[in-house]
Amino acid sequence: MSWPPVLEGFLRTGEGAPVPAAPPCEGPEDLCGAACAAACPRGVLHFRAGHPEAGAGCDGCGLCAAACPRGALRAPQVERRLRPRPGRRPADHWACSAAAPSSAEVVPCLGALRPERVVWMAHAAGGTLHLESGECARCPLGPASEKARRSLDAVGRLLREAAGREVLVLGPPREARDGSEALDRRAFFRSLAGSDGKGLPAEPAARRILETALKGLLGGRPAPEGLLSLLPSFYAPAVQEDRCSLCGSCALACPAGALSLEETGNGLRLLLAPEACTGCGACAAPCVPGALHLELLPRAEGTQTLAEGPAGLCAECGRRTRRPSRGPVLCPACLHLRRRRASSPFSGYALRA
Amino acid sequence: MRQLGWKIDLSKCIGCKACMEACKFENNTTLDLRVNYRWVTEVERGRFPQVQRVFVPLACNHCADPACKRSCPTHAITKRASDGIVLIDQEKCVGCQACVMACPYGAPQFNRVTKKVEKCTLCVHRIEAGLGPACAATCVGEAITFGEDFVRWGDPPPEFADPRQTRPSIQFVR
Repeated sequence: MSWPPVLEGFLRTGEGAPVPAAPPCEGPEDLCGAACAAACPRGVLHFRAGHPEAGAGCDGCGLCAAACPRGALRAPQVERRLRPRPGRRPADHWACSAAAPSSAEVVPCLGALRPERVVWMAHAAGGTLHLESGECARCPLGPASEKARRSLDAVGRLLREAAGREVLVLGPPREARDGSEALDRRAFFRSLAGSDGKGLPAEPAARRILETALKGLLGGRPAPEGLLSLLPSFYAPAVQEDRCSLCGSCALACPAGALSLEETGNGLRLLLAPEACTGCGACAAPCVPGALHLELLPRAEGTQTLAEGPAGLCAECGRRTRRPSRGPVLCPACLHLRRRRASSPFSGYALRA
Repeated sequence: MRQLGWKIDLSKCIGCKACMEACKFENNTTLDLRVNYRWVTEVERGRFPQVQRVFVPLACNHCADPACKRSCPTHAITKRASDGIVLIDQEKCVGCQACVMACPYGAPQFNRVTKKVEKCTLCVHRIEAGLGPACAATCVGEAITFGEDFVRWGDPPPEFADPRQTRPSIQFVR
């Protein structure tokens, strides 16, 4: 079987395996009845010591995360696709990896979009969301994708009912949609609460927010405040303060603009806006001193200070960096180069004084 | 894949550093003398009276498996499929210096004016015009040559970082 190129990319990276999110998984004996394991199209998700764990062969489709009623699983590969990009308005056209290539943004399987995510995306896209799927029957993910698609259809109907017009435009094939039975709103919510549901939040407050959002779509009102917090919580950067050099590379690398470097009186301060952070991990890669790593943090409101300290200019390269209590001001890269040059004469060149 | 690379004849290099000058002139690199796409290292060997001084002209080796490319968090570093030249996209570079630390040869250079990292482009603008790199063109002893006919890695000096790490496109002749 030949894999669609996008899916192949997911397989190759192997980064798509689901990871635990903030509300802890209660184990397979929970009400969900191991919905995630049942939803896995590859059958590689198993419970080990009470926790779901993906084995070899996971292609990061995210169907398990969408199936979890608690939001205790996250699909990093799907979320990476969904993160907002600076300077670009949110996409209103999404396609699954089996769909015909087009200008749409691609997720492995459209079934991985949780209902609250779809509502949020519809809000962000300004009222109409185009979802284009390939032929589920031929999908390498197998029958699970068809089930996910039916559930997405149900979300579409709910949205249409609430907004009074077509909010979710589902692309071909249309046969599957005609074949499925009609659902009213009550039956839809009931089906979501059931074992094969897509897991709407169980708390009444969260449901109220979702209903407000649905009604808001009708009047073109902005999304209610709590809507974003309904989405599964993210890994967020945490900084080991004594190692952070305050260079700001993480802030430059952050595609969501969640990290920023602010000047204080005589130094610098690294700030995180948690509501913008998507947990993509782009900030951790350029951290030369290795001070920043991702941690599963409870979702918080307001700006957080990750690191703070006095700053100076690196004596070698002139970057702003943390000023040590004694000794010359050197950024981590220049310190590394200086040490290496001392041992290896071929590592770079400095003119003789 | 086609791969351009350096062929360095260590017996011919006289350490005149004309290549450095030509490189700086051609690529118009910043006046900061710490930024050099090409540099000449002097190594002294042996004990008196058997002493030897070797000049080693070095630059980015446009490795087959570049450590800089792997380290770049913003995917600013690319390796051209057409000729194997490793280039840094100045638009995408955020100046984190991860490549500076990753490169075993010290090729990426931090520019303190633009706050970004740049390095030897193998004079890609000259190659596209049908010319060779400026350093090779100017070398008085013809110690630096470039092309596709190099043999990895020839006889590298012992101080040269283990070429098996990144498979640099360079041949040393002694």
